[in-house]
Amino acid sequence: MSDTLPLLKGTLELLIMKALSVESTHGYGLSVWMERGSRGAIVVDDSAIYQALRRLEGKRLVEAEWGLTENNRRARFYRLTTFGEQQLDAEARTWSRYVESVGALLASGSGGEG
Amino acid sequence: MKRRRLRLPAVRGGRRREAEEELEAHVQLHQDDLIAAGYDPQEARRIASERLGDRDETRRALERAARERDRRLVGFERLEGLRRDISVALRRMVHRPGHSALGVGIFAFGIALTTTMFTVVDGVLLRPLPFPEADRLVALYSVPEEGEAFPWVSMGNWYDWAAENRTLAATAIHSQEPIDMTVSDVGEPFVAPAVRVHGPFFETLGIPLIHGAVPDSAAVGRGEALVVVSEPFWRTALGGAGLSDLTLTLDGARYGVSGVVQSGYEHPEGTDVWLPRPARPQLGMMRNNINFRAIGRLRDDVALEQARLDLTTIADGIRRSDPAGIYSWGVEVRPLTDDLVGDARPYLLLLMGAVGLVLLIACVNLAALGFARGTDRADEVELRLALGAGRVRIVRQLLAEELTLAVIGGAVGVLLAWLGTEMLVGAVGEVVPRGGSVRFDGRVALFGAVAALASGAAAGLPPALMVSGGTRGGGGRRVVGHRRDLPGTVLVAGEVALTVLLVTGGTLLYLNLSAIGSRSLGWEPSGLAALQVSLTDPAYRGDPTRVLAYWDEVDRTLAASPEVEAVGFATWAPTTGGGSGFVDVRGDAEPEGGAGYRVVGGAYFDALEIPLAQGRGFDARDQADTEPVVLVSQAMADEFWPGVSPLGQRVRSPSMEAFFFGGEAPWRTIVGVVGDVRHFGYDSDPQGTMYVPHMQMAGMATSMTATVRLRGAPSADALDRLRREVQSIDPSLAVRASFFEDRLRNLLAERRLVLLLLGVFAAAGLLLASLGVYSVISHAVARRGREIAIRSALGAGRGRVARSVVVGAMRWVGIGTAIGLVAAFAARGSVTDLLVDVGATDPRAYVVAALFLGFVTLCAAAVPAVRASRVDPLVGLRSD
Repeated sequence: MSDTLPLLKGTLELLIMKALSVESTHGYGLSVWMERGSRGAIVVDDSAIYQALRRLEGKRLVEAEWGLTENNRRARFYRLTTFGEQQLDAEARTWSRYVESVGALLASGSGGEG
Repeated sequence: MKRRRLRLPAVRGGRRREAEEELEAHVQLHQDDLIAAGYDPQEARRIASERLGDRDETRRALERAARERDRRLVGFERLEGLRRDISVALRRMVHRPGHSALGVGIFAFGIALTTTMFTVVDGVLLRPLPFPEADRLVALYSVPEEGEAFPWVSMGNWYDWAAENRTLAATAIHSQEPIDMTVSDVGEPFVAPAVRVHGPFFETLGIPLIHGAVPDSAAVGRGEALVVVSEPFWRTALGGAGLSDLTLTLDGARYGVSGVVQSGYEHPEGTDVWLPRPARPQLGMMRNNINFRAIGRLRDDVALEQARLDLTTIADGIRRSDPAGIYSWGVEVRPLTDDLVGDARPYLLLLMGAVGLVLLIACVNLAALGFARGTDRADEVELRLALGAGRVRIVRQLLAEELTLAVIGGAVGVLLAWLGTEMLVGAVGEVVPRGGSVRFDGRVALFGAVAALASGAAAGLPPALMVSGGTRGGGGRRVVGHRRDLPGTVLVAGEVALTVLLVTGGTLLYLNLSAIGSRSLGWEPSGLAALQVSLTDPAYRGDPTRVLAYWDEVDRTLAASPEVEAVGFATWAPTTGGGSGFVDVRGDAEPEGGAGYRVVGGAYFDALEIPLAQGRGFDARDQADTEPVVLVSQAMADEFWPGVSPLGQRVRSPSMEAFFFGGEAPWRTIVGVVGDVRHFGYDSDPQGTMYVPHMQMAGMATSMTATVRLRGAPSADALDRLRREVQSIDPSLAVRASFFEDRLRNLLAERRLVLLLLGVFAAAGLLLASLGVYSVISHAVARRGREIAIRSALGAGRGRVARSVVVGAMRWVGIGTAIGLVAAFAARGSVTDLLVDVGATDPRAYVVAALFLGFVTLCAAAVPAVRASRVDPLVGLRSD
């Protein structure tokens, strides 16, 4: 897991923003969303999630506020800012292009071998 | 909800609690989920805790991330604060367009003047010379036994310095000033400024050539006739032709053109032709022919002082081995830039100081306006302070307003300076040394920007601090509010003081120039024309009969013209250069002193209106084969024959005449004494002078100026007619015509320019000071509207109310004036060097400055005061 962390660093922030764009939630909620959404393929260190959240706050992409959960637990809720929404769109597009390009390159490489 | 609210960053303890609470919440939420999935509560708690890992380490990581987050947020906060301050400032500016325009205008005015002046100072004093490694270039000066070093050196001395020094990488000499040489192979003959250079002149300076090469020293040594020319000369006079078979006729001799100097690298400034000549040792009395200027390039590891010591040691050796050399006492080494700039430096520094004062006055003015505005806003500021706004915030906001004005004004000012520089270069280019290197560029713009910000801060900070300081009297309604106006009034007094300083300096320079201009010259320039001719055609060389015949012809031709009253000739007429010779009256080897030496002919003294004090003038008796005679000036008579009649005494000038008389100068009998003249114009002092008839000194009569006194009013047409008549006598010669009055005026151009600029700065200061008085009084009467209305209603006459306001203001103007006069007296040293005939303590300047300031500010104060006194009492009471 620590091997994949450097790769995940930028990606993690993007995933958090994506999650928050659907619904404001707390750190635990994000952890669960990521594990379930990837069917367990992506397991992220919870500490990394909270650090990423603080980085996002520092960039004013995300803001936080203490609130109550459904079963009356006190938790810090995170919300995407307007600026964050704009950035998410832009970064998601960049990410998709990147993935496509890498995928295309990998596909052509295997063709050459066969 | 979308709007971001101000959030203060969490303190350290806050960040820790935040992390702890958040992690605890995480564990609890996880635990809840596990319980819901059927886990035992304690088991759930254990799993949740384990999943999170080491709590302390995680918490610390979170704290670190939070610290970084808060740091960034504070940065954002500042940026946003700045944006908010600027947008508030802009909004306020738009709300008060008149006031804003005034502020921007004052900033623009101050910055434009300062930046334009800086452009000149930068170009002349600060910018390095264009040559490579120009900081290593030096000028070598001779140091006489007594007195100050002077920039002229002899070839004999320089030859030894060049051969023996160990501190210079290269050194060369060139003739003092460009000499005029006649170019006669392209169209009508004209005169080109030329210098003779000895030694590796071009290599020493590192002058780049665009074509050809510098003649090598072997060719120069063989005496090959080769010259180097300037790029503009090559393009215009020589049509930019190829160098291979290009020749040039100078003073009747043909030269090959070996190279072309790149434009902008001419040294001395304005030279068109360089004639490389061999360097030869010269001994004995020849060492005293100080006809050259020396330049050098220091070796890489050598300091100026080392070179001075090195060369002075060599000079000591010369003095011991060759005692006849009287200028060999030492060598002074100066940076070449200083040598070129010369006496322009004190002028420029004075002007830069003056323009700095103008900018300071502008800042004080803006600060006074700021106070006035600040007191208007005191209530608003008090309210904001009461509501908990920090003092820093308020100072920042007030400062931002002033800085915004400064930035806009500065931008306009720099733009104006850019235009102003174009204008100024036209005016100073000819007058100031290195005028050609004055230009507007990024470095000047940067200066303008820094000056704008600094003056914005200087003008904005004091009122901002005062208004936010809460030191004012109680709020609410005031009937009488004198105290509030105090800071503004004090500032206006300061402004007045600075302006007095400027006006006093300007008046002193004005008095000085008019005193110089009204000096008696000892000769009469008005209606006097100069026609300068050099007999450069080889036909005249070594043929005195022909030379004298030429001047005879010129004399007859001009005298025949009905426009001409008198014609004379002189080797050096006033303002056309001059020579001095050693004077021998006793006949021993040691000359007794020196005097100006002129060869004159025709009705020279009549034409110049120089009076004859004793004896007779030259006439038909004085021929080449008659007794050698001489006239001396009164100063020379007083110096050499004090208390004795000089008539009949004998005198000779070995240094001037020995060469023409086979090595032995003839004794001349004094036949008359003439009045003294200021030979080099108003700025110069009369000098003892001897006059020799040209019939007896034909060898030097090859280059003379015909001095022509006109009957009618001088006109360009008349001058041109005379020039053409002389030109037609020998079309191969170049004839230059001018009026002596114009020549004199050009000699004062530097003084006149300085005066003009100082006058502009003083006027600017005066304008700003009156503006300050006007606006402070306007504000005062506006705020005291109720008081004035009550007083009027109670029966005080209108005049009385107005008077009380004006008197209050003028008291401060008076204090400012007094301070200014004292300051001007204290700073008199800055102009002393520039004054002649007028003392720096001349009371007229101080009286003029005081009266002028008093009058102008009184007018500025009266306008708003009178207007206020006309207000209907009822209207005045209802307002506010």
